[in-house]
Amino acid sequence: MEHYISFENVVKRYQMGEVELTAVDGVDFSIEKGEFAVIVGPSGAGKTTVLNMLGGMDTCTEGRILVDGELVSGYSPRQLTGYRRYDIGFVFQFYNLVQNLTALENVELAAQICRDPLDARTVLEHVGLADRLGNFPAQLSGGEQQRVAIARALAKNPKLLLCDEPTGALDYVTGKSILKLLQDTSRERGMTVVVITHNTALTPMADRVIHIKSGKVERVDLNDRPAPVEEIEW
Amino acid sequence: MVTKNRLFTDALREVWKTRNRFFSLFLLCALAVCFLSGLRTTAPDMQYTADLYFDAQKLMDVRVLSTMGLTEDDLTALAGREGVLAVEGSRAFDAICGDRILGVQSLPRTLNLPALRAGRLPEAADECLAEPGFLAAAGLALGDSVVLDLKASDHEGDLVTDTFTIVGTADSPMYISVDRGSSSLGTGRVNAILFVPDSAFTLDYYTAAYLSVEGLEALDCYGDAYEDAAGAFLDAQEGFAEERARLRHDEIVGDAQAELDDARQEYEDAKADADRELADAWQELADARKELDDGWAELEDGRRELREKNADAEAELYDAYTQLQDAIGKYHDGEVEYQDAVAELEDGQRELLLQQNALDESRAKLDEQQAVLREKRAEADQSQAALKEQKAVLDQQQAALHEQKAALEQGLAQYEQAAAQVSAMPDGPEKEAMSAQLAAQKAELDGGMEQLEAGQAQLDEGYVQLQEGQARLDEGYAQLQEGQAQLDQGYAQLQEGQTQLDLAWAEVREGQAQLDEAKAELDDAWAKILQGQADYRQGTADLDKAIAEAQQELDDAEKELNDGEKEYADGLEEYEDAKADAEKELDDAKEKLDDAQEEIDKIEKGEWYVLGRDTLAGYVTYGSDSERMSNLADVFPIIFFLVAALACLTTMTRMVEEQRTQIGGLKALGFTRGAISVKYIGYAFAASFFGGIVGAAAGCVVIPLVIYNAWKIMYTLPDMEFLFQPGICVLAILAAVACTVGASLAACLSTLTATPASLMRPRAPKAGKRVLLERVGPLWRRMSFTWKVTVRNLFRYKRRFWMTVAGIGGCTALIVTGFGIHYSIFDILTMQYDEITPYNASVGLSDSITGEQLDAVRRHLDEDPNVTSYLASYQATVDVTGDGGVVEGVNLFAVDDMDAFRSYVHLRHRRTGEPVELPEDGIVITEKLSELLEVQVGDAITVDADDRRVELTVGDITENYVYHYIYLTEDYYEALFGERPVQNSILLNFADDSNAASDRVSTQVMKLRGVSAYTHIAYIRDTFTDSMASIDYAVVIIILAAAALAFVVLYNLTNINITERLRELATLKVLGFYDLEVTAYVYRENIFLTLFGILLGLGMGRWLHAWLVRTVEVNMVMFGRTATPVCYVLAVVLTAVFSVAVNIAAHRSMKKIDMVESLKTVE
Repeated sequence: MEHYISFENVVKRYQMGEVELTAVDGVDFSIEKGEFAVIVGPSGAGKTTVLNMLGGMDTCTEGRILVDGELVSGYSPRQLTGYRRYDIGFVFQFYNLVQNLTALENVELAAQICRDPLDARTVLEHVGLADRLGNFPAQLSGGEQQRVAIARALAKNPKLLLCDEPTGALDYVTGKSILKLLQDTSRERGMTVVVITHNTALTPMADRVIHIKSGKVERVDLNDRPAPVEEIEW
Repeated sequence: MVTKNRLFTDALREVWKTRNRFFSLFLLCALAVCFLSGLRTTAPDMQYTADLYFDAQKLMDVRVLSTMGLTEDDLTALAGREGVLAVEGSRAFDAICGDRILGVQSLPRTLNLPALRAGRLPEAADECLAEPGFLAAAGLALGDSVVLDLKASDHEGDLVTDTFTIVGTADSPMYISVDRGSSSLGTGRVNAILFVPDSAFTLDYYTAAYLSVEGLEALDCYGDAYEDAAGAFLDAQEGFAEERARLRHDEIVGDAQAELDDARQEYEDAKADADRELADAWQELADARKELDDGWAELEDGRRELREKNADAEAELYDAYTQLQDAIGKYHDGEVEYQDAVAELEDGQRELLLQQNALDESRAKLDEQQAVLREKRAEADQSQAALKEQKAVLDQQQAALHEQKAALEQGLAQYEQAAAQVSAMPDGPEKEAMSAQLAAQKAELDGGMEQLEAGQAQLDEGYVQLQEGQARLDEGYAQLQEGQAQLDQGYAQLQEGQTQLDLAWAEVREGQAQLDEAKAELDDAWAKILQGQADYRQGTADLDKAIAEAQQELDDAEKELNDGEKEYADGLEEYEDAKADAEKELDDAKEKLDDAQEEIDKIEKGEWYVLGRDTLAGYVTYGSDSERMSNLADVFPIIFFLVAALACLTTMTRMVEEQRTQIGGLKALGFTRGAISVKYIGYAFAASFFGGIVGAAAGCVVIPLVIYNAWKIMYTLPDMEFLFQPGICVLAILAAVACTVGASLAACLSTLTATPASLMRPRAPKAGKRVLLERVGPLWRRMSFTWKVTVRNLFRYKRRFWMTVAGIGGCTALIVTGFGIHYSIFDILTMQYDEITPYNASVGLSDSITGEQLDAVRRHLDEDPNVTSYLASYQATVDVTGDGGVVEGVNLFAVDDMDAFRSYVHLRHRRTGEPVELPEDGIVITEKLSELLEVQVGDAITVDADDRRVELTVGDITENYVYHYIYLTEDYYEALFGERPVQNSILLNFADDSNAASDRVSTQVMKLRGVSAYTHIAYIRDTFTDSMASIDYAVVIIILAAAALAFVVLYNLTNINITERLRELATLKVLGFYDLEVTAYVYRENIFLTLFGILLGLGMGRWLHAWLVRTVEVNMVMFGRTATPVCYVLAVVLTAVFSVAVNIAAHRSMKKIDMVESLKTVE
């Protein structure tokens, strides 16, 4: 059966001066449409590299990356930009909002370059920021900024929502609310969400957990009954 | 061993890592220091070079001039003064050489030594040393001769010769500028100096004494110390100078009186001579008159004779002509007749030929008939012969018959005898037998008889027939005879015809001969006619020639007489003139003698002038020109320093920001603030210090050299000598260091004072702020996000904003200034020579020109095809004094005909372009003059013309760029100076302004008497253009500096913009912005800043240009005060080009931004 996302023996090597560094060394996994997947592994395991390649920010050295039937690994740089533009929503660890734009404007900034974006205001209301539309990032808390970031990603109406340690810079409670937002988004909208984290405690909430260690997939767990975020503690 | 300071290691690596940034800071500082130190050291370098030159050539410190000349005694006295090191007397006066005025000076031996450029110093009295510039301008070479017009120069006999061979060229330290002083001759300006040996002078006095003063050589001649020491020396000479002047006065008066007495004697002698000469001349004139009258009478006789001779000859010729015409008529008649005869003859010939033919034809017929007749005769002869033959036969037969008959008759007779006998006999048988025999014999005889009878009958018949035949033949003969007769008759007729024909032919031939004869006669007649005609023509021509010759002779004689008459008139006039002149001259001489006596009686005490170097024109202007250069140093480098400081501030702030955590870590480790700040301060220090050293090194050499060489066009000085000026370099470097170090201190102070803990935390990104513009709802809502971000960013990074605006503005301002200066200088040529004074040439007239000579010049100009119009006027060189001081060499221009004047000189206000009218009782002065004099309309100025001093009120100020002018009407001049100005200058307009055409005019005009100078304006213009070409170097330097500034600033800015917002840009890339969209995101800011900078720069440029133009302006010239629009356009375009170039370079580095940056933790 054709998987929604599939990595087939993906290898990524970096040339660092004279030394060749293998960051990802033959990764194989697949994720289905609408799944909430977590890629988990210790620091330096190569999960960020995987995310970069999946998000079209980097190319793989060997292997194939397929997303929704498209061979992403074969894209040119310009096609990759288009891929990021139309297919990917990205949530950063440090939000990466444009400081000079208000919450609403940040969302609209992303929306303006898409083909059929969602209404920025609605999305912000959806992430619970209906009353903070006109605030600048500096006037928002970390959690609120991350919500804006999620809203920005969602507003693009992407095929795939990629989150890089979305709770990494947040406190426990806020982190949980963000995770809940992501989980709800996946459940309610059928959005394929891929979260990258080093925190194994988050794994129970995912439909699929991909464990990465030393540049390889250690194992893939499938959760028939993912736990709601509220039940998870770490 | 001391452990290496690892902070230092870190600092070094920081420099290497950020070498681009370091280098741009380095470059900015280098540029700033380069300009500051360069411009600052230029003036001292220039003055130092001049000082060395003056010392080497022993330029005098003091000169002494006297209104009465100086004597050896004066020199000795001067040498004895305290502090005097050396004294040298000099003789000099101005002399006219072609169209130039030369200052002829005795060759200095100890002071003011000419710097030999080529050849050698003059030794013989007829050798000279000339200036290289004069040689080039006059087209002379070493070995050529210079001829001085000493008479016109009013110095006849003051030199041993008027022709000098140029043996060398040299520059005098006295004259380093183009100014060689003023002169009372010609144009009023000395063009060049000519050094001749002192032995060439016959003057018995010195015109100047040059002194060098003890202790002054060691001083810098443009320094205050020199000025003080020289001033003190001059002050000390006052009393002494007066004393010497009095002594000289006494001496002169004594000499003069003696001379005057001699002159009086001479006058008496001359008067006697003149009277005698006049009497002689009168006698000569009377003789001439008589001779002329005789000549006139003779001429009249000759004319009458000629008229008579002419009439006779013409009558004769007319007769000949008539005869000739008759002959021609006759000839034509004869010819017609001849032609008729020829035609007739030809007709006769034709007829004769026809008749001949007929004759020949009938002869042929006759011959034919003759032939037939002959044939018939032959036949008849034949028949005759046959008949004769037949007759013979018949005769033979007849004869035979006759014999037979005779025989028969004899037989019959016998018979009868026998019959008679028988009969006789008796019958008997014998008589029967005999009668039977006799009957038989008888029958036989009868038969014979019968046969004979028959034969006879036949023969008779034959005879009849023969008779018949003969008859017939005879008839035929008769016929033949008849035919022959007829034929003969025909022949006879033929013969007769032939005879007649031959006769006719003979007649024809005779006719032909007659005709030929007639023809010959006709030809003969024609030849005679032709000859007659030729003779006639010859006769006419001869007559004409003879008459013409005679006429010519008469005319010549008349012309000669007229000439003689004219000569006589001239002679008479001359005589009258001479007489008048002589009388006048004598009277004048008498008057002069009286005047001289009067003058001697009132000879003034005289005046000594003791003058310092500050009265040498070139010396003084060079000093002020070099000072002007240091003015440049006041503003130009400030732009660079400002930018360097701003760039350093931005760079350092960013560096400190970037290394916040590191600083926190170091603080936590226990390093002091000082130790940590060393890296940042050191960074700025290193960049500015080393940049400064490089800049100072380059600036101290290149800039003075460029500027000095530009000035060298206007000054005659040796090559640049550098004066080591460490103070200025150190100061410039210190200024750069202070700016950058101060900036970096300011940048890291706040960070350094923060607690380590707060430093370790990521600093909250600079908060976004709403800007004023957002309150303008409608506008704000219409803007896209990228524009919103741009607007907010502009106001967010204020420091960067100002740095960029200052940098770009500076760049634009420099370009406006650079091009502005170029146009200000070169446009004035167009404005001056095409718009303000558009005439093509001017002719200078000598002061002594007579009215007739002036008329001759006018007539010549009227006729010259290239001169379309001309205007005579009065021009003089005057010195003008106003609030602002004295301005020398101002052209006073007195206008006679205002209407005509308007087409030669356009007076107008510069700002409005409105024409300026020359007031009736006021003067119009040029703009630059008003600035130098610091006077406005209505202010008074003082004009020194010749020996008069007049105070004038400025009526108006007119636009003018080259030289200074005072315009006034001739009437007003007369009112002011008490006499009408003598026109001494003619302005010309040409049809063809080419050099060749001008040279043609020049050659012609200069031949005329009373013309002293000719100036082609295009030549002046070219010379000026050449001399100003060096300004373009300055323009290039300024524009290069502007480009460097723009590049450094923009590169720095874009660099900062990119690195500072790496994260933001990376995020945008992750969000899916295309490269161009990302670049545009940043560039909108750059474009906006550039535009703003350009706008500001245009304003700055306007001001900078105006200031700079005033600073570099020389006294004689006013440069264009406003930059032309094209400068602004060029500035905008070039700045934009620089900006685009940098931005294109930056686009590449932006493409290289790694998106992974966005994922990094905030440091």
